[in-house]
Amino acid sequence: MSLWWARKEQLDKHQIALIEDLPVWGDYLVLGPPGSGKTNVLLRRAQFVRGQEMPNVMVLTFTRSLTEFVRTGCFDAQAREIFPQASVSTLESWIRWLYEKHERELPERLNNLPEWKTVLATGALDLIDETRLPRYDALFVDEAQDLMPEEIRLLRQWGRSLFFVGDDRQRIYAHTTGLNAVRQVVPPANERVLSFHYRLAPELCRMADRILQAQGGDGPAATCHYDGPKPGSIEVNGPLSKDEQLARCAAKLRDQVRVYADLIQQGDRLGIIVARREERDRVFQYLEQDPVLAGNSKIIRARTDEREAYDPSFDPNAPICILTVQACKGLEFRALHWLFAEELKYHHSLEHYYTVCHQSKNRFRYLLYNEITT
Amino acid sequence: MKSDFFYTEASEAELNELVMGRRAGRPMRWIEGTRNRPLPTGYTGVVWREPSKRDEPVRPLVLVSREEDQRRLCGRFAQLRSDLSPLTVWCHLLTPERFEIVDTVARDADLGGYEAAWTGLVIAEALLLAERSIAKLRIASCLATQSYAIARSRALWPRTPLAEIVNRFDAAQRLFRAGEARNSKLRTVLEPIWGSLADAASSDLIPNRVELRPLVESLRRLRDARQARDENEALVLSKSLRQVVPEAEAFTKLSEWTPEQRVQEFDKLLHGLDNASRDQNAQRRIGLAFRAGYLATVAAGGAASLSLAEAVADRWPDITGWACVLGGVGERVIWTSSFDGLGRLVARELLRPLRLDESPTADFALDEAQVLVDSQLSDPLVHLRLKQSRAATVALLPGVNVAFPIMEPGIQEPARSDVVRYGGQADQRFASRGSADPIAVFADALWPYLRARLERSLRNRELSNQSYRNRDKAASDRNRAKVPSQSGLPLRDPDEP
Repeated sequence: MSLWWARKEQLDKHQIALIEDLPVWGDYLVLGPPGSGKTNVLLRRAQFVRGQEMPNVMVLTFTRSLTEFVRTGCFDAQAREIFPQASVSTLESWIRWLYEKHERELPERLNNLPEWKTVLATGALDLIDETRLPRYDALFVDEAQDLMPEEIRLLRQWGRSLFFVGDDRQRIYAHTTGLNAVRQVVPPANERVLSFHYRLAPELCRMADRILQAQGGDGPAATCHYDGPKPGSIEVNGPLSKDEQLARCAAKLRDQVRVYADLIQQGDRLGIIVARREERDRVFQYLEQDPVLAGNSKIIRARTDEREAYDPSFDPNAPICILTVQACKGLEFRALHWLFAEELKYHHSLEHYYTVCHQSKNRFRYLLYNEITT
Repeated sequence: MKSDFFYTEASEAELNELVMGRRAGRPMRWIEGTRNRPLPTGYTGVVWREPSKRDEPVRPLVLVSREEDQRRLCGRFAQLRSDLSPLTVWCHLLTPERFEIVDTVARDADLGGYEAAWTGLVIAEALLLAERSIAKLRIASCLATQSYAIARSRALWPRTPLAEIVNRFDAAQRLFRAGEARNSKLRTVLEPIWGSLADAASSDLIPNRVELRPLVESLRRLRDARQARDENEALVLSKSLRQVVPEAEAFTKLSEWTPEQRVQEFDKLLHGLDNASRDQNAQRRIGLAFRAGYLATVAAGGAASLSLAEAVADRWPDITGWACVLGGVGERVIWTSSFDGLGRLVARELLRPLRLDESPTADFALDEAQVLVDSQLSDPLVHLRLKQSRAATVALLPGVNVAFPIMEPGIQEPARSDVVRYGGQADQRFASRGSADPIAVFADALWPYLRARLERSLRNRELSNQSYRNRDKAASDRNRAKVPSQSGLPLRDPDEP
């Protein structure tokens, strides 16, 4: 393996064209399958535009865990900031910040997330009229398929240029309008497609294809141009008891923490996915008892009613992320352990399985504990 | 087109005129590409450039002097014409042997396609010496390594034996009293890598050292495999390595191994290294280190995992060395930001052509410095007229400029308390140093003072001996032979096994 190329930053010609060939002013929508580099394009495009005398940019993501993931891209391999972290935020945090800057009260919190998103954005739609803050030169928005129409209106108000990336097959919340609302603000001619993906090994693509049939297009196996570490693999461990699963998972993790140490230093993570929240704590406690792994893991919580404990920030000293399907959205793992898989059928749909094995962009190592039966 | 360069075989009197900028002797036009004729005994060859105007001084560019005449040449200018001394500040000093192979004023540097590999080795040595992260490593540290001296020497003067380069490096270190113990500790493990790379890049099909042949063959095969974009490079390696490491056969399955299996194999290799060291099986030990180094470059499923090597660098520094070398074999694009941008800077210096028509960029040449240093003076370096406060750049050979820190007598090397993290593993590695027993800590504290006295004593004895010798060739050769090599001195690092 040559040490002379920074593989992590490699972009293909299609991705580069989206970053530097499109005019810096204008609204664009980029679609692509998981692993096609949409988020990377988003951040690099923001970085490029920022250097073209358009310094006032903001990258907006859907969840805080995704924001934290994007923020890892704000640093080079030696952990030096190359894009301002302050210019990356969740959409909700950014809207709350608008409220704060305009000294407005937040609306009453709703438990239903799509409804809450709608109410929050609607309440901010007239803030622009107060002209307290300048408009952004450009707003860059990830996971556009999960936006509500009111959010898109708000983005239109505040961003001179809008740049969306998304994939309609990756919707995780029901009742969002998908990309149709985005297309109301982006002219058809400004829609671009990344056809291929590069980071998902063929073995994982085939698994994703088996879970969810592609609709109106090729599945990930057909669009795979993977050229990364090999071999990609899916290991099915079991049937095992929960304790046996934890023991085997810990043994694998001990090797993985060592072998991926360089990549972890550069921001890569190891994932453990469980079906239920309470299982996260069980896994965490188990790993904390392990003399090698103690202090290396962290629970990543989805933003729900657990707001107090919500902390998805990336910590290179705790590269093992324990999370539920909801929290893994948009994240990327060097290797993923799917524990207690037999329980998933009680909690999730095929789309969620697809999300875990595909949307989480685990690159090439995939360890399944017990089989999913659907 | 006529050449602007002239060559004069000058007697001492004629040389005195030439270095003053005045024409003297019987110049002949020096035409690039023509073979230089043998230099008569007692003469100094001078390459000089014709000035654009007749009334301007001629300017000597290169002095060609027999090795045995250099002491007199440099000495008489230092003592009697000190305005012009040191000579090598402003012109190059070559032996007739080196001048013989110079056929152009711009001498290209060539590492035979192993530029990236040599660069990796330079950086590996600097990392091992500095014990700091690649982000904190500076180019100056790289240009002060033995590996840089060897690589640059082989690039410009490919027939120079490694032992001569190492001796010159040691001699320069002794001049400035800088860090030789740390260098010599690494030397033992780096020597096989230097030898293998030098032989691999050589045009000789059969390597010089028999014990290195499997490694040289491996390097050549790996280079060929990568240039042919052969994805089964591990298979290629297994064929050439199995002579010394039968377990290399397992590499045939490497492409099918998961990263976890690779790290387990790495651990097996470490175990094998322990056994080979215990059995004093040097060849097997080197082969295992080579294999472990390669594995570190592909451990993460094809991605590098140098932290595996760094975690054991205290015990097996050669694994880091091999990893950085093997990660560059076959790579011809050397202007990437590899090694956090250090790679291209080091490669640029390694491959910088030597321009004999320009003044040297070193502060002075080693050959002249050895003549001018006088340890009996309160400032032994006074004749070098140093204007550098921290480091001097010494030309070990023409164009081979290596930086050496200048240590004041009685001042010990900087404490290593500024060691910074090198990933998570490095802290553990460095922590072991801090846990030495109290006697070892005491010895460490005394060592800089003891070493200074020992060195002074040895140098005085050596110079005293020299003063009774006459200047003829035989005596001069004897003097050189009696300069003790570092490995022969009782100046080993206290923590060296």
